[in-house]
Amino acid sequence: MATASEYMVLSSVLFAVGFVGFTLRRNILVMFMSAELMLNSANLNLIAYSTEWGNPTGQTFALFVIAVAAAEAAVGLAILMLLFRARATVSAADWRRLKG
Amino acid sequence: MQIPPIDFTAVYPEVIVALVGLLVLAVDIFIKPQRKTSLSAIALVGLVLAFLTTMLIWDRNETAFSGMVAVDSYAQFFKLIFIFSAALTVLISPRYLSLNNISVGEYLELVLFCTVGMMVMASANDLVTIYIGLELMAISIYLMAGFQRDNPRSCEASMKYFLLGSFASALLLYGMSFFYGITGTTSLQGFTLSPNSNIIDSEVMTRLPLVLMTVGFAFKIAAVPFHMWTPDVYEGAPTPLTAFMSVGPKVAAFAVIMRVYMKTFGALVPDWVQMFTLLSILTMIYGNVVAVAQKSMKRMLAYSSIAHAGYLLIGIVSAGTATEMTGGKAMSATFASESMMSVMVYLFAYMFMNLGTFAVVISLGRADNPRDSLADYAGLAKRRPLTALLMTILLLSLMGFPGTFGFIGKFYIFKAAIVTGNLTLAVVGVLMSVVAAFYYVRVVLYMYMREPEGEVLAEGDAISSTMYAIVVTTMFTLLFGVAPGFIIDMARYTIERMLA
Repeated sequence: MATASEYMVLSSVLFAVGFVGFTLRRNILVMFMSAELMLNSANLNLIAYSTEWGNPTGQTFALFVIAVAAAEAAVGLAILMLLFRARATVSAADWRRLKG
Repeated sequence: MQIPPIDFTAVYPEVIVALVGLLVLAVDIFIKPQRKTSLSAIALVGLVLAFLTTMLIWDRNETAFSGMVAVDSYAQFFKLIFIFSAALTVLISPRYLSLNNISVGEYLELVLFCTVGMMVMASANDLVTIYIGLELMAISIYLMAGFQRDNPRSCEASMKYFLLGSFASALLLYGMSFFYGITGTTSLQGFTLSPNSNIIDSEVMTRLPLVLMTVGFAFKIAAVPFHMWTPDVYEGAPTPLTAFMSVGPKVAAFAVIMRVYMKTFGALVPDWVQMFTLLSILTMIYGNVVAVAQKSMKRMLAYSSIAHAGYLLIGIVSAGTATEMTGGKAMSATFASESMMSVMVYLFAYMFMNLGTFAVVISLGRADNPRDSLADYAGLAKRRPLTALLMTILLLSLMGFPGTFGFIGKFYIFKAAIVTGNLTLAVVGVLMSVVAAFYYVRVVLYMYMREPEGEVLAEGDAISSTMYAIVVTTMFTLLFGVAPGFIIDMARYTIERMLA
């Protein structure tokens, strides 16, 4: 069985992939997926620590996070649809209306 | 297993606002389109009820829901700010909504849900509660920012806020997961510097949750360098919502910051004081200097709201420095609570003056033209003398002119910085207030001294709910500017009980 520190290494790798993906990619869908990856790395941490500490708080927290992430995904994709209808592209590089 | 008893009276204000939000949504389906204004009335009645219940539980000092929710007057103080800002937002919205064909029902419902989220944040006593409140607030705002569906700017603002917001909350959550790893609990009381676990034990690891959570919160208060979403989102979003989100989320994030950093991260004060000092200086300088170059009122107010976050951070830094001061425990406790009191008073003042200023911006807008560029304010004093006068008072208050509420806030912030020895921050703050005076007074000069270019629209000080909101905010700005004792005593009382 893997120890908590091994899970921590895995979660840091996931987090790093998400972070780099979010900052470097310009496709909104990919940016969104990267943010979800970061959330899931936090979930992995919470669950690993929960086992290590022997209390269920971390697992409960992770359940809440999953529920919130689902709500966020629904809202995010709705906004993406809205933007796509106006623009017919999902690339953030094409945003010129607002100065940035 | 026994389920602990649930004390619903502890969260009555939240429950009422949430139920009224659902009620508005339900009534919206059955009501005739021409009678939609009654929805605003329902929302206002609900907010008044929430105000009364908040006062009812004002004096309680305990935790509820197995320690997840703190029921103390500190939380109630912030709930009052949120209820006021939601009520003022309901007042300033109808004109803008009808001009831009935005559905009233869904809009009000989201404003109310967002208020619930902020109230949950203010009374959170656990990381889970903070996270849920924060997301409820943020998701409502993502949606509201994109409410003008046919306007590409609004969609873009919504998307931008959504992406950066979810990025920020991912960082925050990752920090929270390490908090849990170190302490084995998510309760705010649980953090200790010497980790008693064999999972993580190094100097660096105990700072990791602190750094990550600070970055997450810095996004929410729009502190430089985590501000890049602010001007664009403020400009693209519907104006009443811009007013709402320049106040609500910022106040909520400060409520959480003060509770978490003073109570939970009390052992890490030197670390977070350094971080907040840096953030504060950068925020004040950047916000004020860039605001000078803006031609659009909405963008100018966006940058000015960034700058205000910088002033507020001075108060947080002073509170942190005070706890480390040598010279007796009693003295450092007094200075710490005085510094936090200054932040709370400033937040109260900021709510009135910022919402009022945005209300003026809304009242000038027209269906075909938002009329929010600086040139549109030329000669306003002749066309709409009352609006121009009230706008002048609000701008002077934002600037920190003596006799207004804004001055009281700034005065106590700078005083706290000086007595706790943060002279650099106080000097930068005062210098930047001078820069700020330039761009606030410029608007006043435009209103009174300049002749408007092009054709002049015949308009007067129309009586509308937006006008009521402007008058109310200006009155409070002046009232508390002359007699601030009530608010100061209230803030002092709550903070002393929270720190005790």
